[in-house]
Amino acid sequence: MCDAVKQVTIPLLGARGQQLSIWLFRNVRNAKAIQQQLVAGSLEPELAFINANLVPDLLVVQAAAQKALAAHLRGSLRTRSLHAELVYNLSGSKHVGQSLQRFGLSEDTDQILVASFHMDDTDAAKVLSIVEGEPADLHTLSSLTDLATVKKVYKIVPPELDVGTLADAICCRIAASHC
Amino acid sequence: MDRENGGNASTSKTIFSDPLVDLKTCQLLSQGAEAKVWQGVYLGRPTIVKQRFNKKYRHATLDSKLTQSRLKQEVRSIVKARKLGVPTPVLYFVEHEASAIYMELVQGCSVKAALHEGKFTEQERHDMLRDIGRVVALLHDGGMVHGDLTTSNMLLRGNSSLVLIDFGLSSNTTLPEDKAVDLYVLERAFTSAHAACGNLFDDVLASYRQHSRMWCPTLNKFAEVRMRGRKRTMVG
Repeated sequence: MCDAVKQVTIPLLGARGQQLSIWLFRNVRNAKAIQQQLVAGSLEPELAFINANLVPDLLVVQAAAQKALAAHLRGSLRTRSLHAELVYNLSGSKHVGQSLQRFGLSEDTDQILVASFHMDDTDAAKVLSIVEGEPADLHTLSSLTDLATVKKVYKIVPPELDVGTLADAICCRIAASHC
Repeated sequence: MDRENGGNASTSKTIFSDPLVDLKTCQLLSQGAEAKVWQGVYLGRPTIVKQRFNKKYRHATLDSKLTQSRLKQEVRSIVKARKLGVPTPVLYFVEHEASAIYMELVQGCSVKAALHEGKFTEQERHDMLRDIGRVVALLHDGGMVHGDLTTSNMLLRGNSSLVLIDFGLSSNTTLPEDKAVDLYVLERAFTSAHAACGNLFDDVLASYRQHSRMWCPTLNKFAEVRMRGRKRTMVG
């Protein structure tokens, strides 16, 4: 376990040099409580919670985040917040409710990716206090992937994996979701 | 660096707002009749930005409708081709407001350049031509045609594995006629650009025949198209 990465910050293209911070938590115990707060809109600061089992690569999160930010900058969000848009974009489908259900939290989710735009150090501390779980090394993300479900929700067929990686295939779905 | 500035000026209309990537930081690679192709960085990766520009000679509403539908058709075709196992660039983002497609920059030269430079051994060239036949057969069996099969629309990733680009004229069809025209366009590309190399297209066709499940009606039509040319006679 040399240099475990507990938090990644990715620069995004945007008007004010925004960036995306990402954490991975395992053995999360309070998914249900967080979900209730999310639905009530009372969570402070605003964060995106993603089911980590459906994300094989951070590139996928980055693509969804960049797309959400672009929609935000143009005032064309399809969900009620920038962070919800990130989770929605991850699905590669147009169905908002289903996407949030699948890729967001459910009661028994115990491996969670947390992502945030506009983050400073105090907010980072809050993330660690909101989620009751173990911060994990982001390099281990790909080992948590539930391949069968991922292939099912994105409808990925075997020939597609001959011409590119799983992350490539998902990236295409995310990019093409509104076409 | 001067010509980049010209690119932004022409894209400031209602739906043609500026793309997310600042084109001033990008390098203009080429311009066709419909779009400009830029090279930049997106998601931290080298990226191709293909932006369709507006045409002043068309009615504004019609222009934006056509541009949007062609953009969508191109994206759908790329995704469908990938599902069929045809190698294409990875899509990163589709920006409807700027009518731009962001996709992976394939590192490598085009088949056209490779053939012209003649850096293949006999065997390598044979394998590549057979690969072209195989990939086109995959595309056709999956119910689509590329629409602009030329050797400059085929790249060699890392100078070896084939990638098809430019699905701008691609459409969904199962008609042998359309597939035959697709093959005919490719044959013309070979005979006009690579006449000096000998009968390259024979290898492609032999491989197509071997890999396509529906080669028979397509090749019958192909013989017909060869006699009369790409356009059908619409007399009577």
